[in-house]
Amino acid sequence: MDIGLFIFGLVQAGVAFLLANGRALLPEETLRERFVRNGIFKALGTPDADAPEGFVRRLRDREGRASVVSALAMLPGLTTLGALPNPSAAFPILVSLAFAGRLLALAVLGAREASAAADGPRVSRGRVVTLADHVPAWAIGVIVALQVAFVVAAAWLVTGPGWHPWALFASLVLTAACVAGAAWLARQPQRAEDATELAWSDSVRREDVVALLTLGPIATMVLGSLLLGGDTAQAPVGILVWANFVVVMVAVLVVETASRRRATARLGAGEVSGARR
Amino acid sequence: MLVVDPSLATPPFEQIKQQIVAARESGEFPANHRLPPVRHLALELGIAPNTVARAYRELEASGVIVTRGRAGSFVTGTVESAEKAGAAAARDYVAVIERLGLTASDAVRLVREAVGQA
Repeated sequence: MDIGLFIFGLVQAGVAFLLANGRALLPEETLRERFVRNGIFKALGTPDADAPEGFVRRLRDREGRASVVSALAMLPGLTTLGALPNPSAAFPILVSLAFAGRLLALAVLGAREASAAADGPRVSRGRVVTLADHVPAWAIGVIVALQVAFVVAAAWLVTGPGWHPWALFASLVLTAACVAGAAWLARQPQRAEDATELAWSDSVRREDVVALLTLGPIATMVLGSLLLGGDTAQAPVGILVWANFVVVMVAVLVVETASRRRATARLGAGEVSGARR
Repeated sequence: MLVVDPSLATPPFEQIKQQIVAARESGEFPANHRLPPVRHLALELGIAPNTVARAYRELEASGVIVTRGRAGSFVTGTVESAEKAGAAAARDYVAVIERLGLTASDAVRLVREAVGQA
């Protein structure tokens, strides 16, 4: 690999890292705005109360560790640079690997959050929360259908029917793994010292579950990039690149919106008034 | 919601017991509400699994919960919850009777006959 290609790869990896981990790199004051009642960066569906200090500290620590995993996850992607006909085609692969590494690390660290010893009061909902409490089944069906349809279309249009069976199979395996991972994460114990912290924990858990579910479309994006092979001169490829992007965005929007409504209905996410303080 | 505060004089297993009994009576945990597995609840409350297991054992001995093998532990119904469920079933029955065009006396007669057959 020549030095120019290496530097180009590093620049792409740097941009991919920033895209995936921008949140973890926010300064302390800006980060606060995500967790205060009237914060300007407070996400939709988060509780109508300030997050406890300990909760924010633990989350920041978790995001910091996930960003390290995200950087490491990009290393295999960098090795594909020399093999691709067009080096810029590595960018979607690097972005996907950065996101995947970050999401998997967040999921594993989030699932283990309750194992730390307690020195004060701790609360439990008194039941096991499931994937159905976070995301309705129809939303999962929509993203599965979208990504399978996309992979099949890409396989038929660009590489011919010969690619069809394995591309479809790989997509289904990835999707099933993502849904199983999301179901596993949803069932894991949560750590909270009071009702407010439990409500915040619910909203962060919902975010992680949704992120895991959308890992399927992101993985499909990588698969799509490999199928398309970076040959953007071919007529259907340009359309497919955009279709790929649209599939990912639609999948994320569908799951995000549906899960916000479901979590509010089932877990009272975003509401802390009815709970014991 | 269950809360365990280790700084209280009441032992954690007793706190869990009292709160499950209270939640059952208030209807927060209705009949057949599935409680979390011992290890899961212990992790969430930051206590030893043995503490939760002891609370579950004593609740089972007093008939508040029932353990159905690997399916888990479930809250049993109270007299009030059974009456509420019965009243709801009766309302559904009356709605069906009205839809079929039968009278109230027909409804009572059919219930009597059903009770007699049971």
